[in-house]
Amino acid sequence: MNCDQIHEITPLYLTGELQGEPLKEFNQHIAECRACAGNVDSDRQLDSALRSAFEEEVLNPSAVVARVRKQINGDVRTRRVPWRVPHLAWAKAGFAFAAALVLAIATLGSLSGYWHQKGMALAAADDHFNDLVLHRHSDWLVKPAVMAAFLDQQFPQHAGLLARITLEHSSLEKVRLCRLKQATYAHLVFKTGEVETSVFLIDNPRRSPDYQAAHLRNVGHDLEVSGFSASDLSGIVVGPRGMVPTNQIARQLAERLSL
Amino acid sequence: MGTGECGSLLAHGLSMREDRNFEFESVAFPHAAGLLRFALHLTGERTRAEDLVQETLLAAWRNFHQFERGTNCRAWLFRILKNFYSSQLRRNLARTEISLEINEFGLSVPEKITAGHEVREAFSHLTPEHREVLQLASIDGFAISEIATILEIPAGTVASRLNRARLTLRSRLQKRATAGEKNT
Repeated sequence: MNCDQIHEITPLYLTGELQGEPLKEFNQHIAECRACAGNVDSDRQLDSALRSAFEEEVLNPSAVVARVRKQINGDVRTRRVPWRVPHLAWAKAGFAFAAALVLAIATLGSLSGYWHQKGMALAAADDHFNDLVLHRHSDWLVKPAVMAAFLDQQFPQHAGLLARITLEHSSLEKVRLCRLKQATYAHLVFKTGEVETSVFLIDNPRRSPDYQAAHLRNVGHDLEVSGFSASDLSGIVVGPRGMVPTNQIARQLAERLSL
Repeated sequence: MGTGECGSLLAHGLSMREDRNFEFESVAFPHAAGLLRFALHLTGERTRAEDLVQETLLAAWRNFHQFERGTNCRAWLFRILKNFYSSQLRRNLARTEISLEINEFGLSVPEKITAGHEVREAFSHLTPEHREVLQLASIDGFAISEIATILEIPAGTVASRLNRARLTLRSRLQKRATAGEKNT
């Protein structure tokens, strides 16, 4: 390969699409040609500068997502209750109202006495939103071996923690340390299909009552949050409302970690 | 068919539709921030960018039955957005002549004078074609083959555009750096 050919395929090299023999030849060329190596390095630095520059942009898509969701649900509602069958429409509306009332009473009941937890839940939801929607943090650990070492280091008393907290059909995507209300938590992100669920874990050897099981159905940003406490670990589960059954996940994690 | 059967079928249909909504939201909404950034760089204006993303997501939802599960949803969404933008541009060009050079990004927070600002400023002066390939490759991390699908151009064209875009951006940044040194 000559320098012109190297220049032509540099974009493929930078996106990791160059493979096999061409990759071998590319590497061989830049190992011997300082000019081409310099150009490749310069392109790589430019990409990195671009990424950093645009990470500084605060882009919050929640307004547009809310508008889309409203239109989608509006569309569902108009199809779901055809005007030609008003009696059915009224029956469904009545049922929906009754269900909402029961739900509201149940939710209010379950929340009474947990106001102090609400602050923690909101902090966790904010962290989830900042991390996973706004991508404000770049200190995530993503390599499996590094993540395993991180958990061993943070929770030395809990051998095999990762296997115990990884639920079926999920995989650990990334981890980092974060601060929630002056406390340091390990923020673990699990991926199930395309959906991301956050689990915030902290050592709680005294089983502080702050972390008793609780469930908040809507903490803003269209997220729901559930707390759990198990043996000497406590945690908070955050996920998109209606898509991730955080209360079930919290219950399962509490059971698994209590074994 | 009695009312009960009708109600039960309706409930079944409703449940399927809600499942579809959940599935759509879970695969499409995580890409909203990326789409918004792409739209912002294409349109140069926050309101227009949000409208474009909204139009894209609604079109994707309406055509979700055409989306093959397990394939690249992100590339599919970016392609829809790009198509919408191109047809908007064609409509606008038919009406009036507009400038393709966009100087403003419409950021939601006051920009600080930082190295990042310099890079964004230089990037904003690239041609729309150069901005879009650079954004897709360098910022959003799409592969050349994916960009080719999104923009509906050959992969070779994507690669050569990327080379030219990087060269132009680098040269602009170098000029700015030299001018900055002279001023100090």
